[in-house]
Amino acid sequence: MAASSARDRLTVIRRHLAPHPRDSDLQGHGGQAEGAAGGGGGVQNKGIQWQTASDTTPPPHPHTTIPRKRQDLLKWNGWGYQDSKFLVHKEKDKDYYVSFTGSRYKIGNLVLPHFASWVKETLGVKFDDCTPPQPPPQPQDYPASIINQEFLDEMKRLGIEMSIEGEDRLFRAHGHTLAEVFVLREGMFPRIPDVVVWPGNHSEVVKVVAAAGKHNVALIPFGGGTSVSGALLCPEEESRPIVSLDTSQMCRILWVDEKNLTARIEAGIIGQDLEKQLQARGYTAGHEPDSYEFSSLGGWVATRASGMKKNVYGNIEDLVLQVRAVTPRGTIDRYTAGPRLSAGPDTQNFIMGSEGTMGVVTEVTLKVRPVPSVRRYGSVVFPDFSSGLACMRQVAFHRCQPASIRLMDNQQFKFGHALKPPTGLMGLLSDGIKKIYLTRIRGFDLNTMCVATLLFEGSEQDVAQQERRINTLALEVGGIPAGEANGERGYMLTFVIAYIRDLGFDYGIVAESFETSVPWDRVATLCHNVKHRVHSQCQERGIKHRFVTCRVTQTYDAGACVYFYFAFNYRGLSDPVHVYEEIETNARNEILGCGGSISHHHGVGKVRRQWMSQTISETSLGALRAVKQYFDPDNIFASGNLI
Amino acid sequence: MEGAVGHTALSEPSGQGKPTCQYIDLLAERRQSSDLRWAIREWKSVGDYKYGNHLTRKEIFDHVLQSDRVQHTISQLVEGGKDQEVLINEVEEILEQMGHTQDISVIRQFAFVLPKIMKRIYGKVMINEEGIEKLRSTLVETPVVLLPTHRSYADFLLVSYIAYHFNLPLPVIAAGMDFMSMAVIGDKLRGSGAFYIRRSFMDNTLYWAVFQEYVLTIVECTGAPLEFFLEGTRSRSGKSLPPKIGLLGCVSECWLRGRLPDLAIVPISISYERTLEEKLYAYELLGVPKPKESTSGLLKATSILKENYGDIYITVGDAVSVREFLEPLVDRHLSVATPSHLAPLSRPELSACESLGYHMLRKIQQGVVTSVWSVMCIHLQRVLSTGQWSLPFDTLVQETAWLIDLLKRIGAVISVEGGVKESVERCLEIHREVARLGEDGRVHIQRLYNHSLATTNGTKMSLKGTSLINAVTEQVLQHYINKVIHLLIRPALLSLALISLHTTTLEKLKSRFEFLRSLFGYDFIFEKNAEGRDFMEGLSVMMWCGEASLVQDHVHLVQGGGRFMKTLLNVLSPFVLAYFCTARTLASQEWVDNGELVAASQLAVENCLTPGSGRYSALSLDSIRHALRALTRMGAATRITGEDGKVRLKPVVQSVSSIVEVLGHLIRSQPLKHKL
Repeated sequence: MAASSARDRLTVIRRHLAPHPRDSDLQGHGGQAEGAAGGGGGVQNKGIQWQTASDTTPPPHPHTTIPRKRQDLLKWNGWGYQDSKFLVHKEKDKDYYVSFTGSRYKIGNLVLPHFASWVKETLGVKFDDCTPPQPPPQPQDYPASIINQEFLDEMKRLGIEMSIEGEDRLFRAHGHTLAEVFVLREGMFPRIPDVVVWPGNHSEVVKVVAAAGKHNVALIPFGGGTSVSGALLCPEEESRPIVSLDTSQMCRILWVDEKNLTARIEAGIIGQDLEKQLQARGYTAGHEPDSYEFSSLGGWVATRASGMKKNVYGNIEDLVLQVRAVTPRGTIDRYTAGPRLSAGPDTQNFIMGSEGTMGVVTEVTLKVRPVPSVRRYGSVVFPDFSSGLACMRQVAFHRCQPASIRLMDNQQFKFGHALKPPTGLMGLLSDGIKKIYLTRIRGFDLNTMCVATLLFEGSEQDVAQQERRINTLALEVGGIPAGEANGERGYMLTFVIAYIRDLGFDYGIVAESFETSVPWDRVATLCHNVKHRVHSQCQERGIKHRFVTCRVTQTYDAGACVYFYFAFNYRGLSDPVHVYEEIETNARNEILGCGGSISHHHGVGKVRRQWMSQTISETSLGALRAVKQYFDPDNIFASGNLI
Repeated sequence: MEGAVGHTALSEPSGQGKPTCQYIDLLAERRQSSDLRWAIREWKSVGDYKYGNHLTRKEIFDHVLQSDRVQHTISQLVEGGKDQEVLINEVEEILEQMGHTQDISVIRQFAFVLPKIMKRIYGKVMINEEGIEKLRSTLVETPVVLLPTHRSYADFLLVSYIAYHFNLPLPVIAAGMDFMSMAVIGDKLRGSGAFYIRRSFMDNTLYWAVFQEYVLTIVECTGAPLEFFLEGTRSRSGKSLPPKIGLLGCVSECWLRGRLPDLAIVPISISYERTLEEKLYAYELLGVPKPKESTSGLLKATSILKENYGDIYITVGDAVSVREFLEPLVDRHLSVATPSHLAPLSRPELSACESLGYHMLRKIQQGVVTSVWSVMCIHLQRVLSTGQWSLPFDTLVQETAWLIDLLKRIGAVISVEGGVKESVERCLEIHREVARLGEDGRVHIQRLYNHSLATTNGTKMSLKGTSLINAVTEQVLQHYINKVIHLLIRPALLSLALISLHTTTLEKLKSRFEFLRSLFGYDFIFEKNAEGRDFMEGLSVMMWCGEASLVQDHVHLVQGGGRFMKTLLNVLSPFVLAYFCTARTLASQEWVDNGELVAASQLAVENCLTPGSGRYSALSLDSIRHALRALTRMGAATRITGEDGKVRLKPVVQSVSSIVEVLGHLIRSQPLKHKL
């Protein structure tokens, strides 16, 4: 910010006001704009309508949903908001029942009358047998901090905020794999970051990275902390101090370019804030991974994230025009914002999916779209999974996907029903009629049928047309449209399902998800084989109660993304995490053997590193190592992910 | 039969802590109730694959015809100038010829007839019931391949009959085309679930594609148990034959290409106390060609109905998971990006399937129940080698008891009923054609040679009459010795190595052992990449029985070799002789014709034999062919294609002569009476 004088800022503002912004001026654009936004001088900016939309420049201290002390709002040892969770109740002389607290989700403050019995039946849960997690650690419980005083002094001198408090360090020591959450509940990580720093913008990141190189400390970037690949875990063998570089304070939308429908955004912004702020201006990025309440833009880029509505908006690599990232070698930048580039291999791809091993993403130019006028859910039921799959294939073949289309298998269909809130008499009646219609008249079997959930976005006319198209294709393979409510519940479950795991832990259930992408002709066998493998592995280990389910969550021209949930009752097993990991390893081997990929969107991190050599050739891996060697010869970004 | 249910507990090797296997007699109940009622009883299989679909013959045909592989092959051939209509017709014809039906009424006919025959010629048909129940639960979870041993035509319907008996899903059986042409029987077999495949079709791409898809359809879609014979053909010698990889590779493809999560392979060991074809096999191995399969031939064989063939023991082994076995050996991810019908098995994949084949044969061998007769034959053969044709009954009993005891301790399961003496008596009764107890209290070995049988089959025998008189009997004895030889081969090869080296270092002994193991690798089945394990097994047996000792890395022969070692060397000696003569014959010139070379080798063996020296089973063409294969593989000869397009076998002087030298040394180091 020292670089931007008041005169510079004025030039920028003038350019924004000019009717035809020139592309050639974009060089350094972001950095200067950021100066304007975060400069703290602020006086010149006040009241200036620098965009045709009614809003003003981003506030100097933008509101973030999640505070710097994340533990004030979020659970320290589980998923999501503190106020949102599943609770088990027992009234005298009655059976146990489950409810969901808080008012953030549609399921909130509701009793779920069918859930307790489903859990008992499927997973053999005994509600009398509860194992609560350990209390939060005391200050002396945290691993001692390895301090590099010169680095801390330099941070202080630069005015970059930092913390060496145990709580702050612990919160950034992990993501949300089963193993990590299990450690939070029952143990302690052998290594956690020694210091947390919060740079406020790109140039502060440049300084932090330079200081890290100078004082030989390791950096692990932290965005939203929703990783499910072990990417945030500190390598135990790392002897240098480890600094967690928390990007959450870099969360401003620097500008929105309405002519080109693009926006320059700082990489630390989390999904819900991004959407709120863009929608306030009438736009949307349309990127909604299931974690989007908490995950950050930089994290999306660093893991090659995929959003639920990719059919309309694209995955992150389709949405991103420019990526700016700081590596120990210098800053990666692309100067042009042209919509496509023929200029050699795309160097931005060194950063996309690099999982914090090459550097840290600081700013991104994203494409945005006007907020659609209609958003509507839908659903279709099928007599069995293979007919559902045939419908998905046809939809992809005709390229008539709505914003989202997902096919859940029979187990997940039943699971969804178990989470139905109580229904009134009319609801009960119509449910009963539906059931009779499906099973008696249409001959559906409740033990094979499955459901596809749909999300439509667009104009009223577009949506209506899309609905007609999908329904026609569904009918051809024996499907029946099943209304909005089923669809909406399906998508709501996506957000809520992560909370269930914390409840499960209390009662001896461990649960995890894993995903893959696979060519169309192998989707059916992959789903079948992987479920079979997981079941047979459970059987071998004497695991009686288990729940294995999958859904096809994305469709492409050449294949689909398949998402598995796997939960089992670990009462009687000594090391459930290890057992889980062995089974998931088996499942991943099966996935690769059936033509599936190492990951569709979760990334590799540390837990899937062993399959990289079965994913790309030795030469390709060598190229990745060489790039890492160039950007980061001293291995400052020492997370050890990916390769 | 005194008891209603014939439960027999066979003691397994002591000290291994395995539970004893319970065998029950399938015929016990049949002897007490109506066969007709048994055949028409209400029948429903229990244990069908949970994801299986019932497909009609027509549906299977359509599935095969519509498959990517067959469609692709057709379009390739059309590009090559063939007519599509003609090709589709050809596929339909192949399918018509191949396709099985599974008609419960045909099964019922067999269920009626088979017990009648079995009750007449067999004493008991014993099976381990536990194996059946394990098989049933495996069948529900995963498609199953059944691999029975193939020692006799009787194998064919036995597994189906067992399935009927225990209400298991009926197997679909891969059968050679030669059965199809048998009147009535060919169709009946088809009706009971046999499908017919040609003997060689590797060069016919369309047939190959149809065949593969047919097998895959059965395994993947119907989930019916598929039964085939891993050894490809009936083993005339009584030993396991090297596995044929064609069908095994084909079914393994289901897993290798990710089409099924797993496949269970179940070994079934069928041990006949007396083989129906014992004499036919002996002639065949000596060079009398096998008669063509025909119903009239079968009817002629009805004379067997008058004879006693003892008991049958059937062991249904534990299932081997194809996934568990193959996963460490192959890289499935390398082929998954290619459509599966365009990704033929790679070399490492085929090699892994071969390993699986050898592994399965070992499993099958482990399920074999050894009859006392096999043990007796070892002694009878030794008696012949001393020029005698009889021995005192008591000596035979003692020797047999001694060896039974030893065999049990090294892992044999032996069906001894009552005492050894009673068992020996019983065996002499069943095998009275070969050896019988005279009134003088001696056991007399019989000369089996039948002049008419040797000549009526048309082609002339090359062997001299004098050889044949000894050879047929010895060949029959060898057949039964071979049924137990898999238990003896590791200590036997170790003994052979040790006797030729005397005191030696562990390392030298091991390398000699490995050389022999490789040389005899077609005659005896060893698992791939298990040299070290086999060596240790052989050495530990010999050390355990006190005939070899290990002192500071040196292995010593204790007192020039004891009783067990002599027995082992005696068992091996016909093989050593056959290999020696074959190697020497091979070394003598360049050979244009493989048949000539085999015949010349047999002649060379014959010239080494004198009446009263025994070892006539060295005349076995089986061993000579195996020796040639092994010698070629070990580089003793190279195949070269001459200008006339004929393949010649040319000896590689250096390596063949070193092998001849080692074998010659082995023969000289044994107390044998040969004209070398």
